[in-house]
Amino acid sequence: MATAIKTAALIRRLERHGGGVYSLELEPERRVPRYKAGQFLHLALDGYDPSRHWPESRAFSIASAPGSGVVRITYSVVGQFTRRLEAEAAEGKTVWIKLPYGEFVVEDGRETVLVAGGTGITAFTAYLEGMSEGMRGGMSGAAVHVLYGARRAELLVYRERIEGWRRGNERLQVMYFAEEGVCGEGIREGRLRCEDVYGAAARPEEAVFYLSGPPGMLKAFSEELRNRYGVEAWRIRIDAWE
Amino acid sequence: MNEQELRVEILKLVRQLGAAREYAQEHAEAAPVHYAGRVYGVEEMVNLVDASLDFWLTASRYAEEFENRLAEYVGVSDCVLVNSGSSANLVALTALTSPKLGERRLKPGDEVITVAAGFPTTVNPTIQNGLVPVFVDVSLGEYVAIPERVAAAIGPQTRAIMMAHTLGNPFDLEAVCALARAHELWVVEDNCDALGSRYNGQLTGSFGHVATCSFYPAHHITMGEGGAVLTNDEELARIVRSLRDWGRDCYCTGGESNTCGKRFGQQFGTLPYGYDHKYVYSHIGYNLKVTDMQAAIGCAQLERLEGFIAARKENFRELAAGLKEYEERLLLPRATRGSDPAWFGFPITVREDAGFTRNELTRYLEERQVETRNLFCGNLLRHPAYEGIRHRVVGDLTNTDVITNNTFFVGVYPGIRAAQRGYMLEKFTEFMRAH
Repeated sequence: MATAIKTAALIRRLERHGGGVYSLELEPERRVPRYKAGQFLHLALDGYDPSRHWPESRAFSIASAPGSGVVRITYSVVGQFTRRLEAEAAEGKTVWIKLPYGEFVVEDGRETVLVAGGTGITAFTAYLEGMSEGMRGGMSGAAVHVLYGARRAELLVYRERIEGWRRGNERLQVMYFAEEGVCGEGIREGRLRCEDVYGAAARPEEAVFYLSGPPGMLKAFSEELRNRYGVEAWRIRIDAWE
Repeated sequence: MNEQELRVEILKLVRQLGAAREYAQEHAEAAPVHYAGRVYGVEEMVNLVDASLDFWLTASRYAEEFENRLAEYVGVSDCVLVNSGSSANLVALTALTSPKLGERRLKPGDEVITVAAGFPTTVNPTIQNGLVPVFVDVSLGEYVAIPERVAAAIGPQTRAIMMAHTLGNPFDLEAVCALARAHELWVVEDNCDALGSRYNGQLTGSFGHVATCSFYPAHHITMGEGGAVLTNDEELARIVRSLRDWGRDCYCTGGESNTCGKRFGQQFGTLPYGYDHKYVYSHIGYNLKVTDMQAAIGCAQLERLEGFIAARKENFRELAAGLKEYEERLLLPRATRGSDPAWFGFPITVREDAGFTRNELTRYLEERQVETRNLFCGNLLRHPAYEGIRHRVVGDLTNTDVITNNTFFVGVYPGIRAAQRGYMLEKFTEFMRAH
């Protein structure tokens, strides 16, 4: 893992997805070290003074693929810090970020099931974008299944991008789920269930399952995969923060 | 004035002092001619004071900048700063003993192929980790391991090769890496004297599983005390950081907490679930970190590295040309096949039939303020500390003993300019004419 750096970053674009979900495109002042898809950053709203401690910050998955020069995050308002972020984030404002961190990196080589609840999808988007570029470059590999659920269809904020990455990418299969409201074409109604997760893989007894989303979902799915389906612990990878 | 304005004023004055120091270095007398030394100026002094005014003291913004920039320069994924090149060697080799590597790890009794003609801390980590050094001879003129001897030294217990690019001259990386692949051996490049050297066009320090650098003032760039471990293996990098930072499992930097977001949510060994990750130890480690003041100097030195390398090469070329006429009595250095060394020094071996001894020549030079150095420890096995160590010698160490008796080096560092170079050659000429 490259040495993490701290840098000021300009909020270049702010997207409001509704339902308390936002995306920020950040333009770092310093060149960002090589990071891996699935890694995360810390974002602070207060300025960082190197003679003092790093200010209060929160971790967010880096949703953009490495090398683009812009760093994208998506967050939903769930606590004190994200409420403050919702209130203060604006295009043109400078924030501080430190990155990259984390080991939740999808490994190629075997059938993979990526399970995302809400903004948990951002742990996978950089990988999917990179995979799509790799496919265009002639790369091949095992199948990747994405199961992406949200409260409502409009909160599947990465659906359009994923559909773009899916085009011409035979390795990638995607299922969408919306818990409530009008679902629309291609979106299944109802909550994502563990049988969907296990059943997504052609050979679930060998597949690796990556889970990213709310803590309750991670706990429920990992326990059920282990206890009901007998998936070994090493084949269940969780992006869990406190 | 507020804090920022005060800092600007202080740094303005530091710039003036730095400019005066630069002038003094550029207009130094022809003698003394040091074998090495720090070459610095405005930016080093400004960075040093800037970091000191942060008063964060331990590694921070300058350290992170340096690690990223050096990794990028050498072409590896990870650079980990430590407090010396010797510490870098220690953690680099110790990392290969980590239980996290499973069956691949080095275990006590495993053998590490190396050379006896060099600096002790290339070998010490092997002994300190309960491993067994296996010594092979080097070639005269190149001063690096003879590849055939390395091949002959490989036995059932051999698990690694750890050698230095002596005085900047790369060892035969093609042969060594091929042997390592064939026999599943770890390769540790002691690159402390060779930052900027190339082998088949690629920078040394990027070939081995892990490599080391030194930033002691004698080296290609300096931060006073300092070193770095380089690797393209992220798992090794994590282990190296852990060993450097007390052996802890957590990767938070000084003054930070819960960067991973899992500080109280993990299970380790038989500790209670959720035991504070900041105090979980996965290695028997050390504290070998640098301060940010050191790294700040290093950042400014990195800017000069290419210029420093060019100056070292020019000094080497000029000395080689100036001493060529004495080749019958002095064995002059030669670059190894396929290499383009960023020379650390200019090694010379006094031939047996020269009509004078190494010590007579070096005494003459030293008395006239031309600094000389032996090729470090010569034959390491002849030193008191190494009497009785468990080791193996494959073949003989004839050339290593010749080095012990007959070899020395003079400087090529960037502080040596035309005036000092001319003075040094003049003293050689005087001596040779008198003998």
